[in-house]
Amino acid sequence: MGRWQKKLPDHENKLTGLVPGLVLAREKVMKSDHILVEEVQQGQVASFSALVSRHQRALLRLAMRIVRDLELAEDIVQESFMKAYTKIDRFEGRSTFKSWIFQITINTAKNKLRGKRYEHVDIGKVSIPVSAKAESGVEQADYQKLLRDKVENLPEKQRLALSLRIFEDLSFKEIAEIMECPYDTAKANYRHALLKLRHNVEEDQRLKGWNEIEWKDQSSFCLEAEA
Amino acid sequence: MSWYQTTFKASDSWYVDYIEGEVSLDQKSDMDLLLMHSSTEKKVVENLQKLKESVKSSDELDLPEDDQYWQSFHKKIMTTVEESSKVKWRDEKSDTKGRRARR
Repeated sequence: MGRWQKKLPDHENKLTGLVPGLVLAREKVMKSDHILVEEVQQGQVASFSALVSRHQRALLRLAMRIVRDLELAEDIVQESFMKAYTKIDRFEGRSTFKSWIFQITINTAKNKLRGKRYEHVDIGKVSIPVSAKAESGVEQADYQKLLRDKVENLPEKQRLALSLRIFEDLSFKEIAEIMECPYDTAKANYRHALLKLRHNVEEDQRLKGWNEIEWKDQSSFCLEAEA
Repeated sequence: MSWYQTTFKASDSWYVDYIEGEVSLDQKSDMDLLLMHSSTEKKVVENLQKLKESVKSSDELDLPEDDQYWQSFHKKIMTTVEESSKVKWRDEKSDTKGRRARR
């Protein structure tokens, strides 16, 4: 019998026979990624299906942020899951499965971009139409584009740390695992990214008054730091 | 001195750590006190927080929302995975047969 076809332990078979409802109920309980990975390593492909369901949206968002093309992002995510599946035996659990597959996705996306000769848009060459209604600076949509471009122009590691923190809401521990760097380095990359971004925004006359725009409800703004 | 050291005040790093919850309880108390008494420093922290929120709002991705899309995407991924699983099992099987034949 091959590695992918291990028998279930006897006590599980007996349990299935006696109380099928119990097994069904157990299957519906949310299993952690750690348990699902172990089951995949024991040959249970269905457990990998659960991992795909759990992470496919986050991975597609991540890929989209890097390549800005839905079809290409889908290919990247599909390829990333394939790589994760074929290498699952080598996954030792030193990082979380989520960090691991995020890392695979980022590397896959970068390789695809190298192949496609991704071109940066030089913000200096982009002309932004100014609405006659705008009294000063530019309108909100233009602010958003300018801000997006400033993020894109950050150094790669800083941009990645910033994106993972702000868009994916990952902890610095997870960011460090994904970027394969110490915790403090992940934090430093993020810190430098945010401060550099602030500097670039404040230096840009087109973004004058950016901080006066009410883009979101500020009532949830809280100065409470986590313990 | 590095570019960062000349461009940013040392306190800027503390502000970022503060809004990210990366300060000790003692440091947090000190910062809370500072912000209570200094509207300038409070403005700096608020602007950093606002910048974070602006960055997040500036890049809302236009991803499909409907369940059908995600089910279909999931199926596409699992089809490839299951195919690869069958190939791997066949390779394992023929590998085992080959080893037996050679004995």
